[in-house]
Amino acid sequence: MLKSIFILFISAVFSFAQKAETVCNPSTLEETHLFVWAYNKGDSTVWAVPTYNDSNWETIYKDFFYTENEGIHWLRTKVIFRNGIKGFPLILRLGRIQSAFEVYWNGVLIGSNGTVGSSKEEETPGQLFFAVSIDSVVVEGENVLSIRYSNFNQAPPGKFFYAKIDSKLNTNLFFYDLLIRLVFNSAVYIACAVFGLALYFSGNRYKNYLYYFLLSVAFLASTGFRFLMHYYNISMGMLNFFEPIFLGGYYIGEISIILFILFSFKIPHRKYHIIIVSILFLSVYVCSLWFSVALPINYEFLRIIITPYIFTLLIYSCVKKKRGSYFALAGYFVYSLPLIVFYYLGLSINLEYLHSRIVFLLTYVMVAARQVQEQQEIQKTVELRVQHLEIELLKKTIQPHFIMNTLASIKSLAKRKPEAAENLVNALATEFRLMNKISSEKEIPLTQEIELCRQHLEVMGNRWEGKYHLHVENINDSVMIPPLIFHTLIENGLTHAFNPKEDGDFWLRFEEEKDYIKFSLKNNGSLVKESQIQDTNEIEEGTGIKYVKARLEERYPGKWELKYGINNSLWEVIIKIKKIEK
Amino acid sequence: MKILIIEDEPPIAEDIKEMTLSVLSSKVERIDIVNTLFQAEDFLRKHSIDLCLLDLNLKGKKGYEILKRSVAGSFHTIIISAYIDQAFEAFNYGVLDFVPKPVERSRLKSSFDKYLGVIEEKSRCVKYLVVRKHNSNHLILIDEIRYFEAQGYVVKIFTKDEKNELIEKSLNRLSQILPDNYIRTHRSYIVDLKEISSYKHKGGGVYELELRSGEILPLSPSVYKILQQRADKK
Repeated sequence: MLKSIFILFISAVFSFAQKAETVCNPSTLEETHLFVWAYNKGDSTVWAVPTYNDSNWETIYKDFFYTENEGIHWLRTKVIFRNGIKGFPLILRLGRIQSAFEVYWNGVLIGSNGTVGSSKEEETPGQLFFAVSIDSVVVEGENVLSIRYSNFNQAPPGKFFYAKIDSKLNTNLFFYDLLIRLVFNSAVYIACAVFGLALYFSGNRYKNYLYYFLLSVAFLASTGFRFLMHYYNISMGMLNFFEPIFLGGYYIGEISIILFILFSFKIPHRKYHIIIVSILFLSVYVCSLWFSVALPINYEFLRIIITPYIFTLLIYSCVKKKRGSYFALAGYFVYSLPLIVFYYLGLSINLEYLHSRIVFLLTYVMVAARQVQEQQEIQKTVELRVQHLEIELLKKTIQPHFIMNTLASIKSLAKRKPEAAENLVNALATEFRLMNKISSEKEIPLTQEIELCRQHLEVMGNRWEGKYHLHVENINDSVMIPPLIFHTLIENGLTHAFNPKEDGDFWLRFEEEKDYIKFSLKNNGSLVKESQIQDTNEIEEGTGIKYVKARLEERYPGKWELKYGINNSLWEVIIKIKKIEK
Repeated sequence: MKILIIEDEPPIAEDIKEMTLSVLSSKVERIDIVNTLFQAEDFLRKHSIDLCLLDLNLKGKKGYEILKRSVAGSFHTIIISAYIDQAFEAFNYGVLDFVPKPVERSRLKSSFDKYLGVIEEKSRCVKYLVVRKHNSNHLILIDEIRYFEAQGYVVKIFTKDEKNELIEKSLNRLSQILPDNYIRTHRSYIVDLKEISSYKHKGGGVYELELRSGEILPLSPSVYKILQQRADKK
């Protein structure tokens, strides 16, 4: 009962009326699959006769054909040659027709595979693949192909089969063709497998890469096995042993696809999805054993069920704008194309369909690549955020030690040199005001920065009892820079190049070249001449320079250069910034 | 009392000098100001001092070198700094005190009191002693030191690993910065209590201390009494 429903379901899905005939066009012939057949159980010599009327026979489709009972059966189809048949060697290839068969072309017996018999003992099973030349029997126009077969030696007694006509003259050519496809496909599968594994081990061990690897390996295994089955042309009696192994790869492949999608696109409630899919796969597998239904049919059946499910997952991912989901949807569409369309068009699933697997795998490489890209972007954002925080931390607005030291100075000056104390307080107030105004800006006019530097030099001059001057060259209002860069450099210069009570000069020069702008800041601190600056370098690479570099990188990522050193016994810092192309 | 102020900001240095003089008045034998560390090095080569008031920024390698150089001297060091977060670190190196900037007169006074022994407050968390050897500074972990012995102008440090070192600081100054378990057992010795295995009166005013290592050190009668009192209490 259940079994009938199962078969009914399959027939319902593919219930399309077609006449049991195929048109061959030898001028363009590569291979023509004979899809629709008339089928009848029983045995009669008349059934080989071309003119026999088989209109009351059952119409069957070779990929969904299901012979239930053991016995002798017949298949008939019309092959119509239209544009001439001369000059083309024509080979009829039949595969998987159980277990033994005889081939009649226009009523003439042209070959047999094993011995057809009416009992298991009488029957001798043939081989998996069979080929015969039809050059001598084929006629222009309508031909009738009849196959008489028996199925005692093969359980379960039901298989799809394949039947096609091609021009590959000898078997070697056929296998050569097969081999090239195998090598090509295998190369892609291996590359994809290695890629998946590499991604898994190099990154954060995201499981989806492992499933991608599994998928590639499953495809590789089933392709390899398929080739071996062809190459050794195994006996039909052994098919039941080999087929589950060969199809195992397909099953694992399908499961891997689902897992890959579930993990790649972080589908919610993954656990339930996995449970439901597992139950489905298991029940189909049990069904196969229970009803002795052929595994290939079950595989297709399974795909018919899960294809809409996977499409739903992918469309969901696209709607949620998951990275790479469009690639995944397109790739899966190509992958399902043979299933969806080719059947309806009456084309075979056999070898062409491997290409769709390759397209599928390659698009999923893109999916993985997009995801790696996303991870990198996330990482970069995090890094930028960290850098920004660092700048925030380094932000040299008002540091407590600066205030404390300055207050200590004011306290002392107020007693001894009230005028200096007043100057200091005024300059400090101006410096703070300016700093407050600019420190949160991304860019400020250089003239403003210079004003800030001068206030700072005034403050420090009072604190250190020295006179400091900032000389500027070639500066105009249009030059913009991130704030506090020169302020920081001057601060550094004072600390590391000057002794207290010593006067000093700073020179700031701006130059504009064709593709970059250049700032040069020099000072004549006495410690530079004494070359004691060398060991203060280490200190200088501390917060001050770090802050300047971070600020430059934030504003001109990868487009700046900072150098410093002694030039003509002056300490010089040079900043070059590439012009941004407009 | 000879004092050196190392401070790069002249007005602040003047202020510290003025406050020091007003707090210590006649106790000050001599007070000098230097603005740079080079001047300081030079000064210390030529003069001996009792106390150094050091303005310090520990940021960077150089700050630590200066700190080590200063605490390795025979004199005591008081840090005067606006970087108050560095106080803890400074104490690790055995500075006598840490005074935040701007300096308050009362705070400076308590530092001097500590120096003069008016208040007996142990320095909190000294971890290392810095010794000067071949013109460079070496750190000795306090926990590694078993006892100190005065040898003329220097003090010999006896460590657990027998790598004994000489330090310029006097026993008096050392006892001001060492943790509580180091006690002055004799005019010429400071010993870690944990290293003492026994002590006895040999008669005739001779007292002895035996260390775990078996070494016998002289013991002053007054310390003998203190040790006995402690033992009785237990």
